Amino acid sequence: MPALKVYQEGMRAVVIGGDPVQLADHGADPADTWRAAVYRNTYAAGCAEALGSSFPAVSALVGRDYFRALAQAYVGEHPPSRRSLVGYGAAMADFLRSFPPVAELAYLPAVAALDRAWLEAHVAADAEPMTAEHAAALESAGGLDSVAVDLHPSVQRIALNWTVYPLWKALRAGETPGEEALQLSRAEDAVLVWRPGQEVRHRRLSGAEAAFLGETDGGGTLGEGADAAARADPDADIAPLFAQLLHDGVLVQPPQAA
Amino acid sequence: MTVRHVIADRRTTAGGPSAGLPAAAGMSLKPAYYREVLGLDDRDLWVEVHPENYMVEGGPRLAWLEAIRAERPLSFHGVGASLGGDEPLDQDHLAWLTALVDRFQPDSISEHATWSACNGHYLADLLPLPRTDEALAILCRHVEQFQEAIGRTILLENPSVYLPLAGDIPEPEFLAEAAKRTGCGLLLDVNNVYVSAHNVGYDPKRYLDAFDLDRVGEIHIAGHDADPNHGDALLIDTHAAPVRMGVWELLDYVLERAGPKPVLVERDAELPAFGTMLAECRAADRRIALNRDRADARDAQGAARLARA
Repeated sequence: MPALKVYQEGMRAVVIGGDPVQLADHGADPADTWRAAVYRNTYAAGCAEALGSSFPAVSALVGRDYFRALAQAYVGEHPPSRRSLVGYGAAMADFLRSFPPVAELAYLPAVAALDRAWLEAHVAADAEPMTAEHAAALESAGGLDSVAVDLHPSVQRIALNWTVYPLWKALRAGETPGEEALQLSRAEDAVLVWRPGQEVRHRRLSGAEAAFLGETDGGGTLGEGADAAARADPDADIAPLFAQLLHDGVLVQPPQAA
Repeated sequence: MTVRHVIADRRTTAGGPSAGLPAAAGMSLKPAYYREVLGLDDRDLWVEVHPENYMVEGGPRLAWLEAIRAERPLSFHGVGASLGGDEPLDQDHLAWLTALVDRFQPDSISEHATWSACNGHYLADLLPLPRTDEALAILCRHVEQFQEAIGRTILLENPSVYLPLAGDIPEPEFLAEAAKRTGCGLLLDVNNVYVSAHNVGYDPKRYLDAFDLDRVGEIHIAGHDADPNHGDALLIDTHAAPVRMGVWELLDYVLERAGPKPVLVERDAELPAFGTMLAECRAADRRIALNRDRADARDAQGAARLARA
């Protein structure tokens, strides 16, 4: 009888869609090999289910049956390697961008990017957000401009090239998208997805905010962040912008000031 | 104290075949049930999770599990280790699992006598092993490495079988031998026995008679379904239905012989309302209690006979 390795490679081939007849070498009665379809179905259904729960808005847009077929194609191209399917599907947006059957749904990758951001925020590390009180203490201790802050570990900044955010928002909330949400067009947009406590939140990000967060994320100080925001939008009012980000729990205190 | 001593100590206090779960019913803990389980007035109910679903950095899942774990016994039932796979254990998986074990200190840890990965490809299923000496040796080596890495002994579960494979060693003997060689306990999935016996064509009671019940630290029961294409010719271990009557009967058969054991009502899909799930757990509890009473009565009779003698 062939070695265990040979059997496992044969079974792997069957699970991903190969001919079960080769299992006959391992003692399976050739008349019985149709039973191996159970393993193939379990693998396919398990991966599709994991993808469906990670990409609920994409699934809602294309419909469950279509999503299942789409998931099969994804699994074929990006089979799972990690021993947990939580987080499986990292390449979904890129996959959709180059998957001919959905070429007409050019906004779909943007929806997938938002679904993915929600999941990333959901499972990100926990951290205590910086509060207005923290900021006030830092200010009285020597000013805020030279303070380097970190973004909360859950923060996802998603740059979009389609106006899918209102649609995605409605789908995630389980609502029927309104007329306005269904008017999709190509346009730059930016969305912030994060989890200051145990609930994932999301909102639109202004150009000034995006520049501010980009600068501070790169290790910049609050002063440098403010400069970046002003460059992005000369009319932006920096004090309320910073106050809002604090209020939303998007920032965490730098370790040395904690 | 050396590291080996620490591991040995942890094994004797927290692992072993008679792991720390109460001889009562347990429930598969699903996110849909978090709210109802937390603060539930049911002293003996214990919960089981797949640790793979908690291999995340942070967030509400871990927070819920922490809150619920503070209230009741917890079992980790792994599905990703691929202990029967002919390739080295996945170090990333072991590191995540060890961190979860350290954080949650589960009362029991179990895995499967199956394989799930090949050439680095995770097949997201519990695939059967041919019961050969080679497969047994590989399984035992991995169980030992796994136990060493997490610092705990585990319970090893019998698989559900759809396709008979060649193998000289009968399954109960295969599992008993693995337990003997590695010091692990066994998890007896009665639904898997029911489904496999039906699919492969053996007598489930003879299988159970041959099973090393002394090493059983936990029992699983679950629902199964007929294959959508082949009907009753092939029963699928779906965990998506209520426990079937034939499985309840086999559970009684085991409890009569093994005495009270922790019994998990396993459910992974088509989740019913929490109340329905809890009622099924209480039905399992009644059967454990009934068999405990019978065992007590037998013991009392034996003691009375001894006293008269």
